[in-house]
Amino acid sequence: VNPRAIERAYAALLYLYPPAVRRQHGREMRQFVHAAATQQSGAKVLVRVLVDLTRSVPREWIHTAGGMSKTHSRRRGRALARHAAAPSRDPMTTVLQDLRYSLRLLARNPGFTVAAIVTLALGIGANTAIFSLADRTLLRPVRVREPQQLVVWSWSSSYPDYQEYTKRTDLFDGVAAVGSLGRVNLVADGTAELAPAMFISGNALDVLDVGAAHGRPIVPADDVFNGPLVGVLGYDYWRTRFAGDPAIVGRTLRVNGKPITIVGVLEKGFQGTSVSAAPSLYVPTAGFSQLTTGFFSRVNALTARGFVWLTVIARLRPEVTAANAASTMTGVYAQLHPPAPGGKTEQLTLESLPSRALGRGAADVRRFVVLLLGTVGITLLIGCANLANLLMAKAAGRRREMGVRLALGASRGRVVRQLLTESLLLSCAGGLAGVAIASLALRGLSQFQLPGGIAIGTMGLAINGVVIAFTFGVSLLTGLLFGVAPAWRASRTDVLASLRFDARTAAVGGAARGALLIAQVALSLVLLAGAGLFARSLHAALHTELGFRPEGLLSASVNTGLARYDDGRARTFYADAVARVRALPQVESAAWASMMPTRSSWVNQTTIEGYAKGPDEDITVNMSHVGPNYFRTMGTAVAAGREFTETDSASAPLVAVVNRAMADKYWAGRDAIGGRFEHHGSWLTVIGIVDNTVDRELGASARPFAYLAFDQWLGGKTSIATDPAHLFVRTRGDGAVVSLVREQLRAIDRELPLYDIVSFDERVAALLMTQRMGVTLLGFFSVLALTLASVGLYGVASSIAALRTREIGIRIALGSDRSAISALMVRQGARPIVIGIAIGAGLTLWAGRLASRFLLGVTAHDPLTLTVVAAVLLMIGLIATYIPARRAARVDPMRALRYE
Amino acid sequence: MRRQQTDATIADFLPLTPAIVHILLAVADEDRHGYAIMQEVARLTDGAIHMGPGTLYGTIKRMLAGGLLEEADERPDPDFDDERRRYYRATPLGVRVLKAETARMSTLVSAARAKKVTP
Repeated sequence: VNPRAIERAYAALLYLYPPAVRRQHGREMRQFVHAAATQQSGAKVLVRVLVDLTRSVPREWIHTAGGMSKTHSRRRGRALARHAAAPSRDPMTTVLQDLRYSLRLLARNPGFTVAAIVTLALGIGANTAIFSLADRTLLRPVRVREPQQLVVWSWSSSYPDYQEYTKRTDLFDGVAAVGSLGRVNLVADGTAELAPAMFISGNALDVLDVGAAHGRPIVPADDVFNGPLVGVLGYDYWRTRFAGDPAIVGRTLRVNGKPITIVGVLEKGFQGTSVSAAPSLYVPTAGFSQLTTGFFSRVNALTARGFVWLTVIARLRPEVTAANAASTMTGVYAQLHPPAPGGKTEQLTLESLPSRALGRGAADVRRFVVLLLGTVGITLLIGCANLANLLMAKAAGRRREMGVRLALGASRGRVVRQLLTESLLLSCAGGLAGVAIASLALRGLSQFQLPGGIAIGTMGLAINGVVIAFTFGVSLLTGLLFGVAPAWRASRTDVLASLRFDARTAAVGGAARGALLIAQVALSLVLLAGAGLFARSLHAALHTELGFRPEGLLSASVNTGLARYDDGRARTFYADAVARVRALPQVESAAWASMMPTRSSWVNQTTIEGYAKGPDEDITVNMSHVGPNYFRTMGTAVAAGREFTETDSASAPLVAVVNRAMADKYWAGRDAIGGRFEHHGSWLTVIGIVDNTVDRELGASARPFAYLAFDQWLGGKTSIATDPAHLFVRTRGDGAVVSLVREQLRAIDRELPLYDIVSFDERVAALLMTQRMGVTLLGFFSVLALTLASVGLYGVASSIAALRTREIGIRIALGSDRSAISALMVRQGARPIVIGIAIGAGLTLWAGRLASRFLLGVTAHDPLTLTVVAAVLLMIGLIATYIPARRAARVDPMRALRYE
Repeated sequence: MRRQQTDATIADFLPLTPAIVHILLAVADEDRHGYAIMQEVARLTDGAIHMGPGTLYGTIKRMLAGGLLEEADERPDPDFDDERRRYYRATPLGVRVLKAETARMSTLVSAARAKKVTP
């Protein structure tokens, strides 16, 4: 963690200290923390600083409350210096006394205690859950030793190039390579399952410094061409699939049809080199041609310099910078691949592994997690403000108790500590309950995805030691945050006034409570506005034209290449499968396609007959092979011509269907039907035009799309047997169609795994994920915030009303109008609401930038949303102040005057 | 007379808290800034005591008020040093208080040795 960041965070925490301490030593204290953070690990400094805060903040307040001032004699100053660092001769006894007394008090007010603990538990629990997400994305995306030393080549490399890079021991302490094996068909105990797997170079686990929990890791001796196939399992996969049985070491599993000996299980905590979908199985790179299927199995991956498939990860030597290493390695690359005359070698960059681990959308992921952290942080702050307010209201009721204690000789320090003990006890109880809430919240979060499609459920989020330490720290800080101000006020009780019987007429801390209310209203507005923006954005997204009907549509995927089918067998399988599924009475229609709309697409360069392209124009078109009835199954309207039928077979003339975007762009002013374009050297004739459909992202403009006939496979280097294929099924009614489809496919081949069986409702939901997540979380927290703020407003209004009962009685007795009195009180109560709304609106505009990337069809400072939200907040606030005001105005003047 | 008063003042401070003893010891040989005091205390106690910033500066604040510490006027060239740093040294009173505390402790240690209470 950056020392500057730690220093800045600490600077904020300094506000917990009395102003005098901050003024006199604040700058030095910041400097101290900065120096500590540059010389020690960030985590250690944070823990020490937190422990120091909990010890020294109460102590400094006690001394300030003790009334040390310049006017005191030097002698008194010295005496204080002596008592200073040792407030009590026997600290444990007083702490125990304070604890016992606090427990008794809290038990006597069960309503308040439960409300406080629930508020804190929700706030702290939400922060804990989001922190564990932040830990996995922002703080420690890769759980290896000193990940900041690890750099990743910005482009992929071939195996021979990688071998060259490993020679640069002058720059690197080790150069490793990893490559995706996608999802393998892993057969153990007779059941097939698809599991994400990864190729790693023999030295990779050594470079990353990852050991084995059982057996041994993969070592360089395993990574030899045509050697026996070995593999290691990821810890979590071993726990779930093999029930944590250590006897797995030495067993042989079938992976993509090949036997592999498992030599070990990797250490707990290691989740691979990326945050999405931790690999279940790691195998040496030398196993490439044996384990891959189809086209890839024919490539000589270990010798072909043109075949790039490896991500190179290196550990920088301490004295080398990433920029220097990158420019040297660019030179190495230029020697291996001399640029064409006049051409230039592109500059290589070395990215840090923790950043690369977040994937292509790293910046969006970070921004979204910060947005979530802000949301839960604000919720906790509102909770703190609310509790501080409640405690101050209680303190007003306890003035006489405090007065008696002070009159009997209790030191002000003792009173402050007693009250702080109460609030710390509450916050720690809230923290404990918060951990429980956090584990529930994590389960809820696991249904969402981060931007970039990283499913939170696959990230292996857990409440680990670091998260617990965070929760503990947050609990202590929370306790201080809502406890210090009320305790400070209580300790300044005027002894004599508190003992007189007119105690009730004294002020209740008007200014401080007013400020807390303003803060609550302002922060609530920020959350409400955020929820409103995401709600509008979701509404816009829901009304986006999809181009297909998701209701009753499902899809399932197979990869015949993994089962080593040849073309003939694959064609038979596809025809057989679609016929069997169509025959089911619950199925209306079914069709195969090579691409999954919204998930994958294949972009190809092409030439279009009769289209004059610009000088630098490349015609790139997305393509997919689709079977007969595909558009009918999807619910995509055919605008002109026809869709594919059984007659468009392998031997029939080559045909294609294009979307409107393609027809409008390349056949502008002409009839696209009958038009021709080229693909892999063949010319296809357009026979139909279909509506545009959403591909990849909602709200993006449609790209040109061409559909080729499934039976006329024109894959270039791929074949119908090697690529994954997706079966689309339109069902009648709901019914348990999934299991029936699965049965039909299993009946053809038991060892061919069917994966990704999802309804299109779910797929569309995934497209709406960011908006939905924003609405759900911000909506939940803003309702919580609104509730807390209204409770606060109501509480303050009631206590003001109660205090003014006698005054109101006199006014009424003198002939004042009751409605005028309640109007007056509402006007006074409305002031903090209006100020809070104004401040909150400013904050919203400022914070909106963070959310703007995730909004669709609405800007971050949408005036309508802000107005509606402000009006809602104002209305609820006014109701909360009106109820007590009306009650006060209805008082019987005679009773009011007899009050007390 | 004056001498007597000073002794009485010194007696007012005893026994010192561990934090004050350590800070006085840390600045006994040279002027130090806060972080250096923490490092010196850690060194003197074999790493057993790491004072946090709040504890350290809270104690320093009271020691300044009590006349045990003062800010040093001389400091390293700001070009080579972080100018936010302030250097502290013990006042003559601070030195006398530390000596008195040391004498008190050594009396205690001798008494313990005489009764064979040794680690």
